[in-house]
Amino acid sequence: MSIHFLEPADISAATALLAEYGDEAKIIAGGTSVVLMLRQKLIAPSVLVSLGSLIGWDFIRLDADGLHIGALTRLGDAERSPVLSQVCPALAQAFSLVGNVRVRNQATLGGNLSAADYAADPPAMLMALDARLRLIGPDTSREVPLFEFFLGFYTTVLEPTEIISEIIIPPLPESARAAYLRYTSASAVGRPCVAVGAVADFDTDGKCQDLRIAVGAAVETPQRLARAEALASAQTLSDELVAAIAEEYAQALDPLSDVRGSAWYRREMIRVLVKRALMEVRDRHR
Amino acid sequence: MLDSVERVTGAVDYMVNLRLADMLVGKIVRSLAPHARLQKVDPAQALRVPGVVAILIGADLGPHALYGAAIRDQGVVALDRVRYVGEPVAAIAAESVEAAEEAAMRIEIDYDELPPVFDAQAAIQPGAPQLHDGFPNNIFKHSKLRHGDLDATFAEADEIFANTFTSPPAHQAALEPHVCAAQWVGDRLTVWTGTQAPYMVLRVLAEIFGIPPESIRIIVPPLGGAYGGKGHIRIEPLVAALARKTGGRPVKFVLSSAEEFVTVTKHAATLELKTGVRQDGTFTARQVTVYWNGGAYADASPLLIPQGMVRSIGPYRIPAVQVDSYGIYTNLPPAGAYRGAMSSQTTWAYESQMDIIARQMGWDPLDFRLKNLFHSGEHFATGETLHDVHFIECLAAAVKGLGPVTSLPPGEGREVRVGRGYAVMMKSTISTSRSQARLKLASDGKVTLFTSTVEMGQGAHTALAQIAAETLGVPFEMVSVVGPDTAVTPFDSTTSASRSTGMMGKAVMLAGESLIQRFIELAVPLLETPAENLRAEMGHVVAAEASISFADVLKRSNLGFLEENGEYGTNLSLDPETGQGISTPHWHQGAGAAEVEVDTDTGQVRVLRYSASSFAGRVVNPRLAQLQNDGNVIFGLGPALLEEMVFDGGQVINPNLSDYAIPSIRDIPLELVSACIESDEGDMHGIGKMTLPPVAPAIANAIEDAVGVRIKNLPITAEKVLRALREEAEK
Amino acid sequence: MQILESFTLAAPREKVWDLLFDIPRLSQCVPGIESVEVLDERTYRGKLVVRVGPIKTRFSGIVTLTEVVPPSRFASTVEGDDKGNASAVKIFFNGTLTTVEAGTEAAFQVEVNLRGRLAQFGDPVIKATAKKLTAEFAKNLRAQLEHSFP
Repeated sequence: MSIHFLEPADISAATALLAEYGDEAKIIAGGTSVVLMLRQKLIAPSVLVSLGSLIGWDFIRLDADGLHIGALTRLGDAERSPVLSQVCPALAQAFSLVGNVRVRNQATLGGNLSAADYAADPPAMLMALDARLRLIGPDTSREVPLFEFFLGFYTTVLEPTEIISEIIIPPLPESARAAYLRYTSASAVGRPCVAVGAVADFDTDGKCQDLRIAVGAAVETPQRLARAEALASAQTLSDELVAAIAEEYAQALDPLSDVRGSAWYRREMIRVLVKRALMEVRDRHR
Repeated sequence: MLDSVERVTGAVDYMVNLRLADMLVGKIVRSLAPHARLQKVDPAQALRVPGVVAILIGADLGPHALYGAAIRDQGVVALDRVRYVGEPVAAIAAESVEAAEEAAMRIEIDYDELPPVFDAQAAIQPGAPQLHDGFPNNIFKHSKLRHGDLDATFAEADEIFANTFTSPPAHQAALEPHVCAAQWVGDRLTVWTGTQAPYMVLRVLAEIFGIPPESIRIIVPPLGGAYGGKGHIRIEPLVAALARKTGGRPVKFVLSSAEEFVTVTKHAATLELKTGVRQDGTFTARQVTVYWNGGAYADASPLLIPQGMVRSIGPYRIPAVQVDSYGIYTNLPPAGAYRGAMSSQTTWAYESQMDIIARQMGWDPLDFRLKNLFHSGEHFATGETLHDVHFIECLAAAVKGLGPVTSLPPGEGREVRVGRGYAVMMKSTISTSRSQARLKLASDGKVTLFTSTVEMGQGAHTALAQIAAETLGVPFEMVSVVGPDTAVTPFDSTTSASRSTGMMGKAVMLAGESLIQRFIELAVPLLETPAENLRAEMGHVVAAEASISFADVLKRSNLGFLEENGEYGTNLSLDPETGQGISTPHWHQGAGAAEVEVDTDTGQVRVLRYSASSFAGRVVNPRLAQLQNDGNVIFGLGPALLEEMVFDGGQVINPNLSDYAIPSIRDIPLELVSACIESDEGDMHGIGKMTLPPVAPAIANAIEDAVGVRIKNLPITAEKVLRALREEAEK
Repeated sequence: MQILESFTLAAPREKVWDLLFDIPRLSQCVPGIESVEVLDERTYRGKLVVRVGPIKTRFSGIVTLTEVVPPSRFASTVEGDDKGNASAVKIFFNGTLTTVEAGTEAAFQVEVNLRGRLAQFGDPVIKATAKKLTAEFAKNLRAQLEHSFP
């Protein structure tokens, strides 16, 4: 049984192929996720629809309405992007921690998000940044906020014929600060046990506006807690408030158990990491 | 290193590159039940798949199809019963990987499941499922040591400490998996395999197939690491048995990462140590009980457990010692040799207990050790006299290498604490083994060393070539190494137990000395000088006024080349009831000092600095020795902090290097130093893995120094440390 | 691995029991079921498809009822294999039906032993999949009960 490797020249040809082959087809971009699954025989498509020939979908640009990242941007390029390090170094850092340099040279942001692996880095940071995704189907084009995108383990709202085309991040005010922290319980280069993305804006009195904290890797899908974020509204981020917010996250989330940590341990680490992320946005510049 | 350029440029010809004419792809079909009778294994549908050439099942094999490195309890493929998830049930030879996989799906297997047992201590209880006939309580090996009057000496103790330590099942995790190819030509068998012991493989294959050893040839290419996992017979019998059905076509197997984890593992162990001490800081008695989880088949365990017995006591003066070391069957993949076989688990236990005792008694852990470490001339618990032991020097060197404390003791409210810990280890090498080497010098001056020592990245061939060069007095560049290939290279017991530089090195030296003797004899008429007035120097035969190079001796004698063999062996043994006798030709000694940082919020442990030391007798290649020592420490971080095979109902759930974490470059301590201590007597005996076993206990001891918690179960995960910190806080 | 799930149905225990043992109707409720065959009064053979993200598993297996105590308790063993994924599963299933104010609480205690390639998925994924399937199963049972029970 051999696999047909198709290389459509543009997105509409790609989505048309997905519609034509249905269940038999699988998209492949950088391949770091798909090739692993193929090698482990976990999937057996007869057709691979490669996005490798698509041109113009690997960009990072700052528009009036925010930062646009093309879905086919390689994580390594995103990590090193001068635009990104200007606009949000914490996001560049989140990209820089994925896998290793060889993986980042191949893997695309769209691929990373559509794989919906719970132990990934970018989703938590993107969620804290209120990212939106543009999904393109054969006759459709829609925008979905990232917090609605993940449905569960390895499952997203993507229809079988849809492809992510770009990721849009709303503009950050000058006074905003962001931090990305990840905790690996075992090897330093292992997959994260807990990942936290935090974004906060501060007014001239140092009072917090618009705090956003997303926790990933410890839970089935990355999550934010609106009522905990609201605690910081118009407040100074004192140590007590930081601890209270961290406690909310630790209590409210339902952490999972795997070889990198039990649910009990992850709950403890959520508390620690949220606290550390808050202190980082509070004490250091973006 | 001999082939350093090839290593860096990827030109080393590892077995995975092997291509033979008409070669078939091999695939193993593995048991999905942990313990079951095989009701049916039907390959009929699978044989119909186009491209499938042959399938081997248990029913094809005769009664000799049970083999093993010591106890013949393992089927070439499962015969009528499976005993672990992953056990080979059938083997397929096909034209392509796709055909093999299609066939694998179509083999019909019916399992009649039996109750399984996975825990060693549960397996020896009455009523536990019995895995093998003839071993009613699943104990397949019991090694004993009895020295002195245990009860009397415990009675003399002022304090008695009883602690239990555990080490989980783990994996050798060599970068290169097991690869093996076999081909029959008539009744002659050639096997290409990544093994550390070609002659052992040869012997077992001869027994299984009932053919003379001379009709088997084992060829071993360079290995991409082994760490004990390739130290005994492995998949060779399966590959050879399948190859018998392919009409003479060779078949090659390359195991996947997931398959590696069910092929051989590192023994899980529970170690109970009961130790009596006096107020004056000396020992009275020690009783050791070790339960080794051998997995479903004895494999190399019956050979390793007696070694483990000797290695489970520690380098300390203890008047009375009793050891009971049990090898136990369970429904897990078979356990085998691991880097520093058994000593990682045993050193973990006795060096951890040292600090438990010291802290309880209010003694300094270093002083406690220095007071009790053996000196040369003293007697060990086997009754043998210890010669050439330098434990105190090793420990002192490790401590010195750590330097002054980097951080001040923490103040209130800091999240991070720093601590230091030490460990010393004592390890035997194997007592009975033999090495032969053949050296050839040709008339162009080039030297060839024929040896069955396996190059697996440790630089063995380099060290041996150096010894050959030094003995003959020729430049290192003139020496090349051939082997292993049993058609061409002479006998060697095994490349393991840190024995090769010592044993094979001596064989090479003896071969070299014999060769020199012959050159001297040949030079007598050429130099017109009697032999007693001739000597060899720098590759020449030298008389008072003249000299001739070895090459010229050959040319002038009309000889193309000269060859000589050298052999070195030891044959030592211990009494099976008392463990008294001589356990080893010499002792491997190592120590470690660790400085760690513990994050009290997360429990995470980081090794900041590590200083290792080893006693090597005489160092042949200082650079390689240092790399070996450093490499041991890095390797040792794995079992200490990261590595554990996790099972659910007998199924490994983390058989990949993402979920089974091994040390990465970022886990290496900021400072890592190692020292090699040499002695004036200058007897070389190899480095092997002396600096590996102290790593885990040194780290555990450093953690206790830092935050006052004691972890007794490996690996030392952040979660375990945090739980211990919380429990401590609640007291 | 142990999984505990429960849900409540607005129907009396006997009705729920009858539905659970009405094989044609029950098999419509089990998500992903492809076929069911009754071999004898205690044994069934079936095919079940379970999807986890991009991965599709297809298990063929035998369900054997080991204990039947109407209308409150039953236990069964499921042994299946998914040849395409070189995997097998053995499940010990314990179900109880208890009358509660809102109707009937169905509680399941399941021990799942997954062997082979799929075992690498890990506890969280398998548990989450079990949760999802149970929720869908409950939803389908409710729909069936509403149809049959006026």
